[in-house]
Amino acid sequence: MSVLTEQERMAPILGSVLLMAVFCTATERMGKYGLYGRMGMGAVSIAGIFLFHGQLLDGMALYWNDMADILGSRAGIYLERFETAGIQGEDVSRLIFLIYLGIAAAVCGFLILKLKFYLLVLAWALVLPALSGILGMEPDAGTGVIFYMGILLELNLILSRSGRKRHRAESSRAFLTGSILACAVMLAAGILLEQFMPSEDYGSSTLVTEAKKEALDGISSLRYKKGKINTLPDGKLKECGAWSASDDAALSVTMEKPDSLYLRGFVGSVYDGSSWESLDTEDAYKQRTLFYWLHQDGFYGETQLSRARALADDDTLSDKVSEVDIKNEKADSRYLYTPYEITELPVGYRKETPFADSMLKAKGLFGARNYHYQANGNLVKDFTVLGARVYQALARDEGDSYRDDESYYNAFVYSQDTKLSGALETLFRKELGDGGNREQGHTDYYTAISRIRSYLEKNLTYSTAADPYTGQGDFAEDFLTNTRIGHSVHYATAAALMFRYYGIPSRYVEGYLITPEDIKDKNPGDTIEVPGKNGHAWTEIYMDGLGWVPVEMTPEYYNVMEEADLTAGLEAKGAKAAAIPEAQDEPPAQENIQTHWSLKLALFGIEKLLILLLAVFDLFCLIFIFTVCVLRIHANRRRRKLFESEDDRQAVRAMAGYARLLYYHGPELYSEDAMKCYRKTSVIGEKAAFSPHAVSKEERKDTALCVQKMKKELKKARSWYGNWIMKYIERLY
Amino acid sequence: MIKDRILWLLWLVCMAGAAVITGTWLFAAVLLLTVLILIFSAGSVVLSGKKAVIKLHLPKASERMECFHGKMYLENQSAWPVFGGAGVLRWENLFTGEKGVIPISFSLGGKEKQVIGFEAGSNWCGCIRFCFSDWKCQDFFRVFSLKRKADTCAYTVVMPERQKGELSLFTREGFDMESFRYSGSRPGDDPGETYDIREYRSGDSIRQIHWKLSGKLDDIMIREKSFPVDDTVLILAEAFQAERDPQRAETVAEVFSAVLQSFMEQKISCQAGIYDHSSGKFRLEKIRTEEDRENILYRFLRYGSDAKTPVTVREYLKDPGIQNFANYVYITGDPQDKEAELLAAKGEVTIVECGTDGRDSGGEQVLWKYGSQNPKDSQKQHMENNCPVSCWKLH
Repeated sequence: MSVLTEQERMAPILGSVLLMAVFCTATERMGKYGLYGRMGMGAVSIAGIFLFHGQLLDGMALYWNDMADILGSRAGIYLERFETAGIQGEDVSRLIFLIYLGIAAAVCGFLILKLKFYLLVLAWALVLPALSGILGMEPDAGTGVIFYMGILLELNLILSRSGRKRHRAESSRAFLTGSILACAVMLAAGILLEQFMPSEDYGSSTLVTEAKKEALDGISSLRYKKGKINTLPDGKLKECGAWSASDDAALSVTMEKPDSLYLRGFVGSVYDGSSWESLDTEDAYKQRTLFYWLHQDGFYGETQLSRARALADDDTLSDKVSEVDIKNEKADSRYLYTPYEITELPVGYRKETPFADSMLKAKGLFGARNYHYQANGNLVKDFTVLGARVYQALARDEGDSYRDDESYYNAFVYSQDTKLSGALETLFRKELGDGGNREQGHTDYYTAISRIRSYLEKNLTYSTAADPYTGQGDFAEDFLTNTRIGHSVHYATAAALMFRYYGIPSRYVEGYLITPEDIKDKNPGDTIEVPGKNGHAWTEIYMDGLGWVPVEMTPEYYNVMEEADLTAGLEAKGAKAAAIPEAQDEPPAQENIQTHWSLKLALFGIEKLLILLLAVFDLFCLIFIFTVCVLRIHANRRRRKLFESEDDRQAVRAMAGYARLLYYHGPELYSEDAMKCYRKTSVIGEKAAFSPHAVSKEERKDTALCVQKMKKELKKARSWYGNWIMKYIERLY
Repeated sequence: MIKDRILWLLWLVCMAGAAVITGTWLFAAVLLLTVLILIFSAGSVVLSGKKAVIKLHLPKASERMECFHGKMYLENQSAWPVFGGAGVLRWENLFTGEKGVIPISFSLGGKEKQVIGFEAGSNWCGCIRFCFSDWKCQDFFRVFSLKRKADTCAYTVVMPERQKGELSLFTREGFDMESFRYSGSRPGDDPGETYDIREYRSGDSIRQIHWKLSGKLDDIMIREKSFPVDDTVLILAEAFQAERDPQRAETVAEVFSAVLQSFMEQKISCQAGIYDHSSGKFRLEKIRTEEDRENILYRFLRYGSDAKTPVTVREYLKDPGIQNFANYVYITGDPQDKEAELLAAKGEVTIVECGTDGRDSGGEQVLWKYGSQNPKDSQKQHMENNCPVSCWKLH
C-alpha cells in the first residue's frame, strides 16, 4: 500500500481496518446483539456501496492504473489500464475506495482468524517477499518487523485455538503474557540486531549477494535447464570461463524446407561491465505505447526481416515460408529460439513485453519446450542485397506503413542500443582510432565490420580455454587490454560494443546455429538434431530500413555459416572513420597468464582448505558436545530408573553410588547430619552390593532420604552457576 | 503439536528462502528473530508447569449406559504461565478390562486456576479408574515440550442392572432346609436340636447313645447333635477372571446383586463376603437392608476388581472368624475357578458360575440376560445380550 499511495492517504485505510477489526471483535462477544450489530454494519456498508458506487469504481480504476504502472515499470508485468482521464474528484474517489478496502481487509482478516485458515496467514506472510522480489523494492524494516510480529502472533493464536474444542481450557492470560514476552524479545533482539548487522551493510555484503545469485541461479536452473549442455552464460559474462559443449541434442528442429539459420535465444541490449541484460523494465514500460501501435500495424522487431523481404522485388532472395517445429531437448527453456527470418510470432507472444521486441521469453513456470512458427528461408546470407532492395523500395515510396513504423522503431533502437560508457569510448578511441561523431550518424557498415574484424583478428587470440574474469573491472576492457584470449562470448561482446562506438546499434546474442553442414542431405520434414556444441554467441547490428541482422565476428566461425557479400550494398551512407592505429603493446605471453591464474587458484584453494578444516573442527566439537550431553542424559535417566526399580537391592546400590557421587562434589559442603547419613548409606550400599542378606524397605527408604538430603544441601551450598553446571552439563540431577 | 512444528518449519524455510532470494535485511532479520524467539521459547518451557497442580474429580457411583461428568482441576501456583499443556486422561474399567483415552489440552496464566469438564460412560458395570499420570508442558509456540508428572487418579463405580434371576437358588425352597438356625449339612454340639439318629460306630461317645430308642430298636442308636449357625448363607463373590470378558464380569455382578436382592426379599439371613484389595482384608457384611446390599456391591466393584488371582475363598479361610454358616454360595466368572472346593469342609456349597453352561456338573442352567432392562437397547440387543449361568451344589 505504501508503494501505491502517499503517506497521508494511509490514515483512512489503517483507520478503517482498525475500527472494523475492533467492531468485529467486540460484536463477536455480544451474542445476539453482536449479530444484530454486524448485520446493521453490513447493511450500512451495502447502502454505502450503492450510494458511492461511482466514486468507488473510480477509486478502484485509479488504484488499478497505479498498480499497473508499478508492475509494468518495475516487474515488467503488463496489465490493461482503465481510462481515467474523465474522473472528477479524484481525491474523494481514492479516499472512499481506501476506506472500503480497509473494511474489506479487516473483515477478511477477521474471517481468517475466525475460520482458522492458518495456511492463508502463512501465505500472507509470503506476500511481502514476493512483492519485494517482483518489484525489487526493499520494504521498511521497522514496519516489516511489526508486520511479521503480528503475523506470528496471529498464526500462533489460530494454531493454539485450532483442533477439537472439547476437553480443553485455553487461558487468555497465558496467551497475552506470551505475546507480550515474544514482542519484547523480538523488539529487543531487533534493536540489537540493527546495531550488529545494519541493514545498509547487509545488502552490500558479498556473502548475501553471492547467496542470492546462487539461489536465483539454482531456481532458474531447476526451472529451465536439463543439465549442462554448453557453457553459454545467459549474458553473465563474468561467469563465463572455458567453452565446453556436449554433443547431445539441444534442440530438435523440424523444417518443411530445411535451411541453415541463426536461432536467437538470449539477446542482451544493456551492457553494465559484467553482464548483458535485456532492456530495463522501466525504460521498456515507457516505450509500451510505441510498441502497442507498432504491433497494431503488424510491425514486430522479431519479424522485421521477413517484412522487409516482402518489400523487396528480387527472385534471388529466399521466399520460401515454411513451418518450423522446435523441440527443446536440453537447451535453456526460458527462451523461444527463433530465426531472424521468422514471419509471424507464435500465438500468445504477440503482445507488448518488457523485452521490447528484442527476444521471446517463454511463458510458463518451466518455460516452453515445444513450439512452432513459420519462417522464411535463409535471408541472413543475402542481407546486404536485401538491404539494398529494401532501400530502393522505400525510395520508390512503397510500403508506407512499413516506412513509418520502421522510422519509429529505428529511433527507439538508436536511443537504446548505441549506449556506451565513457571509459569504453576512450578505450576504443585508443584501440580503434576515431570512430566519428556518433551524434551525426554512424560509420558505414562495411567499414565498421571490416575494421572491427581486422582489430579482433590482429590483437586477440581465439581459445576455448579462456579463464573466467573475477575482477571488479570491465569485462570487455579486461578482454581487450589484459587477457586478449577468448571465445565467441568475448568476441561477440567486444564487437557489439565496438559497433556502438561506430554509432551502429548492436546487441549481444546467444543461441544456436543450424549450419549448412547440419542440413546437408536433409529432406523436407526431417528432424535436425542441433547439438549443444552448436551453441554460439554472436553480434547483431541494426541496419537502417532492414532490421536486425547477425554479423559473425568470431574468427573461428567465419566459415561456419554462409555469409553475405559484405562488399555489396553496405557502403551506402555514413561518416568515414579514421584508420585503426597500430597496436602499441604486444599481448602478454601465454605462460604469464597461466602463472597468474595458477597463483590465484592456489591461494583460493588454501583459503578453501582452511575454511574446510575449520568447518570440520567445528562439526567435530558440536558432535562431541552433543554426544557427551546425550550420554549424560541417558545415564541420568538410567539412574532414575534404577532408583525406582522394584528390586530393593538394585535400587539401594544405585542410590548409594549416587550418594558417593554427590559426596565427591564437595565433602566440606555437607552438614554433620548429612555426613552421618552418608556413612550409614555407604554401609547399606555395601551390604546391598556384597552381602547375601536382603535389603529391607526401611533401609531403602533411609538411603533415598539420605540422597535427597545430600542433594538439597549440595544445591544450597553451590552458586547458581555451579548448580547450572551440575544440572545441565554434568546432568547430576 | 506436529502441525505446529511443521508450520514453524515451513515458516523458517519460507523466511530463509525470502532472505536468500530477495537479499533483503528484513527477511534475514525476521528469520534470525524467529530463531531467537524459538530458542527463548524453548528455554521458557523449563520454567513452565513446575508448580502446576492437577486433580481429578469423579462422582462416587454412576449408572450403566449413562454418561457421567468428571472434572479436572488445574492450578498453576507459579507466576510463570503454562503456555500450553497436553496430556491424555486414561480410563480403565478394572472389572471388565475396558480401556480408553481422553486427550486434554490447556494453558494456564500465572497463578491461575482452570476447570476442564469431561464426560465418559461405560457399557459395563465396574470400577472405572481415570488416571492423568503425566503431561507435556509446551512452549508458547507449541514447538517444544517437556514431560511433567501429575500422578492423579480418580475412581467411579458403575453399578449393575437390577435383575431377578430364575435360578432355584433364589428361592427359599432352593435350600431345602427345615431350620435356618442349625446346619442341615453337618453335625454339631448343640444338644437343643438333633441332627441325626444313626447306629453306633466304634469311637462314638457313650453320652451320645439314645438309650430310649436303643431299647426300642434293640440296637445301639446314636443321637447326633446339631450345628448351630449364625446365618444361613454366606455369599462369596469372586471378581477374578483369567481371561477378561466384560459379558461374564457383568453377569457376575448382576447375579451377585440378584442373589443378595432375592435373599433379602425372602428374609433368608445371609452375609456377603468379598476381598477388599485396597485394605488387603476379607470383608464380611450382613445383608439386611437395601443399603447393605448396595454397599457390598459397591465395595465388590470398587475394591475387588483388580484381582490377579482368585483370592476370596482363600482369604476367607485364612480368617473365617467365629461365625458359622449353613450354606455357602460362591459366585465366579472364571471357568477354571476351583476355589469353591476348599469350602466343602465348612458346609454345603452352591457354585454359581457365569459364562459356562455347566452341563458336566448336573446343576441347573439359565441364560442370563444381562442389562436387559435397559430400555435404550434394541430388541436384537436384548436377544444378544445374554450369558449362560450354571448353578450346582458341590458334593
